[in-house]
Amino acid sequence: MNNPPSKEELIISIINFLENDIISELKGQKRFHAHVAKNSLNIVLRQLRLEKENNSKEKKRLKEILKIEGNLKDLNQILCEKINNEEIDINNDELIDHLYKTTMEKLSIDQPNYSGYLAEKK
Amino acid sequence: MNQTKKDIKDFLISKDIKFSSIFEIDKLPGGSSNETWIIKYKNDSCVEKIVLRRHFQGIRNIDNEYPPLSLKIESDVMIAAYDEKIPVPKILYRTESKSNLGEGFFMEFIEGVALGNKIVDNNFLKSKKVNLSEQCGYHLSKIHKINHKKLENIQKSEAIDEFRKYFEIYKNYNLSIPVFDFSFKWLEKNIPNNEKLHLLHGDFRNGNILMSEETGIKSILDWELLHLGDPHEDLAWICVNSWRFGKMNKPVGGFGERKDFYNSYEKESNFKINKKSIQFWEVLGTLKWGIMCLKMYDAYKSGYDKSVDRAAIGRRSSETEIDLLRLITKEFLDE
Repeated sequence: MNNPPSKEELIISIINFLENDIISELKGQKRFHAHVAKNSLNIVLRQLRLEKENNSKEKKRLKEILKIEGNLKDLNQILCEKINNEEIDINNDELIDHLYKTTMEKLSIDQPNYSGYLAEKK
Repeated sequence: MNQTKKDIKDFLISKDIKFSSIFEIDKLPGGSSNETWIIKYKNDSCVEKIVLRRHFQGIRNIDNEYPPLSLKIESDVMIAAYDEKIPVPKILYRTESKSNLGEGFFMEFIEGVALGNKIVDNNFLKSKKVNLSEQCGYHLSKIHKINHKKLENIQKSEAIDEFRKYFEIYKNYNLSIPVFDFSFKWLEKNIPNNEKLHLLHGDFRNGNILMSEETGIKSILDWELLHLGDPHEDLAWICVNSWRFGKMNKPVGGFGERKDFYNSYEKESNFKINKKSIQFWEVLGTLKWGIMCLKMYDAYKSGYDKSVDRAAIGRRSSETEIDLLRLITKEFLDE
């Protein structure tokens, strides 16, 4: 086990550094890139907090739909194949429900301010 | 002065002696297949500008699986549009592929705002009489009416071609994104009929239209994706949520209403817009942007562009997933 700070604290310290000291000093493309860098760190931070729970929920649903065991990557690949070869119908309610839930979980990490995410959350 | 800048200056002076007063030449950042240069010169103590567009280092990359459109064809179409009084930059001089500058063209510089997030600001327009959606409908119908039979070598790409192209790009990345497969399957089952080929702009969206606060549309830019196809493709692309810059309740580019856009288009063109076709192209447009995000990330992964934004943009592909699900499974056009 490592000594403090935690990985979250380290990331937060860089986010604050970028926001308070760096971005205001820059112009043009470098300023834009510093913004993007800050956003990327925020994604990592949210992923550290949410990924484990999101992935376990996604895996549980996939196993119920596909009725097989496997890791998340393989299960997703099999789901894609079954959609492609029409073994699973795209009007299947269980499928649509799973796709909505998974997408909302992804966006809770990637882009929780996205207009489509906020509209669906209502 | 580097060689390209010298070539630009020499070329322009050979056309008009007024260009002896050129004092600044800059290449704009970005653009992987084409370069854009801004040239400044003095005319009676006023600073004037013109723009050069040419292929990357003057050479059209035909090794690429989807090579960029020849700038000869792009300028042919822009000239045809200009002749029809569609607001586009006037082409001033063209350069040949065998010349020092390679294939490209010089065009007039037009002042205005093209930044999408500025245009969607409620306070952007100073005049309440201007309706940007109506202007978009009017000008787009004029683009679609251009007589393309007079123009040569314009590629055709209809629903099935666009579907296949993006499906192939997605499959080549070997990723498993179930919402994308779900959306491709829906598209495959909903390919619309199109009776007549029209000339399409191919990238008609907020961000590619130069606007003024007083009069609205000043110039329609970025013609490099032009092709022949179904008019619904252009009509849908500007309404894709990714181009609303956060203003989801303004379906046309984040600034306007569908009814104003469609009514003015139909009035000018006598073309009846089909709701099912719009839905198909809006789904395909959304998916296309999701796949383009992955494509831009791929430029990072391959080492071609190591910038921080090329890495991050891959994660924006999930934004399109929620839009795709809502477009396909909820009542369409109820906004």
